[in-house]
Amino acid sequence: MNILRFLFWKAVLLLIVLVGVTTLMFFLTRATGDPAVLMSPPEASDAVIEATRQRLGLDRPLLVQFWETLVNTFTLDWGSSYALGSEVRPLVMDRLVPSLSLVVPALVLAAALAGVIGTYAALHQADVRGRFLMGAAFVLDGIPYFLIALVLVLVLAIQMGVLPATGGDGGVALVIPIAVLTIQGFATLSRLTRGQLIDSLSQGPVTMAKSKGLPARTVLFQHAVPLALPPLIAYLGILFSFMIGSLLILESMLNYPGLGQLLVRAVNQRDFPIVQAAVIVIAVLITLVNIVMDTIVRVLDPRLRTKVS
Amino acid sequence: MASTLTPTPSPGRVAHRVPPAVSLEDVTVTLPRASGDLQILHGVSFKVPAGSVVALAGESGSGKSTAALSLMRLLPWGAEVGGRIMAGDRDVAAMSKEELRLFRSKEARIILQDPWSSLHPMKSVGSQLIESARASDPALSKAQARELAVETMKRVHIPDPKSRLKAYPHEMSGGQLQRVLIAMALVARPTLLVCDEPTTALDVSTQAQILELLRELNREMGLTIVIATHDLDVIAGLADRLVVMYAGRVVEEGPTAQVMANPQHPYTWALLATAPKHNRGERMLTIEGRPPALDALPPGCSFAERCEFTTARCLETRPELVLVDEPSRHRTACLRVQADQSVSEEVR
Repeated sequence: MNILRFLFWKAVLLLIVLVGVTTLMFFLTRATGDPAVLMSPPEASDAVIEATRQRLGLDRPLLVQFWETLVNTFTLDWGSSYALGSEVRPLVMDRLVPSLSLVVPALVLAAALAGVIGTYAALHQADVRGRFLMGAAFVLDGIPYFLIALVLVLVLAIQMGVLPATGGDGGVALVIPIAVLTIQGFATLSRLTRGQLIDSLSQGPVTMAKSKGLPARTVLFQHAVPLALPPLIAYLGILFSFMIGSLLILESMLNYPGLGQLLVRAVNQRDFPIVQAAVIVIAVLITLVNIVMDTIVRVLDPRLRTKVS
Repeated sequence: MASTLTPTPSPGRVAHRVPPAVSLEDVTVTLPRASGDLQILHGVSFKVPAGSVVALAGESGSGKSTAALSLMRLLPWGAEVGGRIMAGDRDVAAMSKEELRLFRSKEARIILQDPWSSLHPMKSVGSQLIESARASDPALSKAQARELAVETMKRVHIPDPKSRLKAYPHEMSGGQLQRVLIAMALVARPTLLVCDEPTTALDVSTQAQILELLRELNREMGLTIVIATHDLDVIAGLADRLVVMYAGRVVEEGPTAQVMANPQHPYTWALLATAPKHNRGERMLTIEGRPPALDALPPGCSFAERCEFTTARCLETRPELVLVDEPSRHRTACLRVQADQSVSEEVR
């Protein structure tokens, strides 16, 4: 039925995002400085700089370069890194998995924790326990994630010595960044969950469910929670993009070999092909996740599925 | 087919088939507000005899909906209720959670004001009806509950009920939704039906059909009905007794015909005079002024400010409900009427 139509338009959206981000990145990066100058030694003559420029293909007309970049985006071929000389695609793709193995578990953990704690706080909105939990979430929500990261490193790595401060092999390296992202995500999400649930608990359908003499559990999980859910799921998509954004600083801070660290380095070195590729991969990822969330919301809520006459 | 809907006792349900008389005795309700507590009901008392239809009439803010909701303990979170609310010989306020759940699922059902916001938007009409039927009678299988749902939808005149089962609330019209709400209550085979403004959201012809339906249910199934409404036309043909409320108090109460033919309280009189049906052909009348704010009720009669007959005493003394007619238990709370009575007693 019209779920196909829905997905078709989301695909069109993805296309627009791709072209838009490519265009934006192309012109923005070129406004920040000349890689040929940066990559040449300080004492290099103009001839050397010019040779570098030619080697990188930066001497060609801007529009030619732009067209090439656009084509490259759609063929997933971003050429070679200016700084490293190696091909960009494997470079970026190798960093994707480590980054996702931070964000995906953090998102799942944050959603699960927020679901439990937000629901508990909504049901105990007036008593000490509920208020304490929300107070704690409020405070956590106000602390910047990089500060949380510093505190965790200080406590877990430096004082207790149970984890390495930076890097580390395999799973150990994941613990601190995942914890930081989870704390950051869960704080906002649990407050949102509580608010949504309190709101839906006072809505007509829930009063109706109570008036039918349904057990409290059924009223909560089958009537109130579904009403509260759609905005929360949509927010998960936004949270995903927040988390990806946090990776730029977090990965650099913790020396974690992910997309964020790669991107920050590439920006510092004016390594345009890598910046271009990393940003596009991130944009596509965020768009895809949001499409998935939108689709889930649509499947959940029949009002979005039928056209209202 | 209709036999399944008539209140013939079936095994296991016998205990609940006797409709309870419902009564409110000096009920007060206070709701928490950001600006401090607000008392909505100030000692409301009335009786609903089993098998009768009692209407609670009044403007918005009179407390009629609060009184109706309090019968089923459905007041918003944080509400403080005083006085006694009785269903048969049971105190509704004293019921345990489980007793209350069973009371709501099997005996007393409510039709809420706004059909659009009462049904669950994410569940099909059929699943909500089936859930309602099985809440009342857990022994029903899904198939039996579905059958009962279809029969009940027929009973409330929903065309093509089988195909409507799959519909979602947003795909139906207001009149249909209100019927679904009524069906939702009826699948439980309740003995008491509380209706909070059941026709306010509907157009006039749909209103008439819904009222006709309620009348049928009362006559054919012996359903006790409490109906809160601001529309006197709703009450005229339906209610056995009329309870007129103003600013959280009962100002007049008695048999509908008698109250309408011979209203004792100036507010009832004004309410009747402003109802479109009762002054045909004339310009529409309105009651001057507005009800007092509930957090700033005057010390005397709450209606004094808008009343044509106000005297100095009305501003100071709050009138109590007194009998004006013994056999019909017609009561009113007006100093003027009470003065007349004492005069006539002196004459006697």
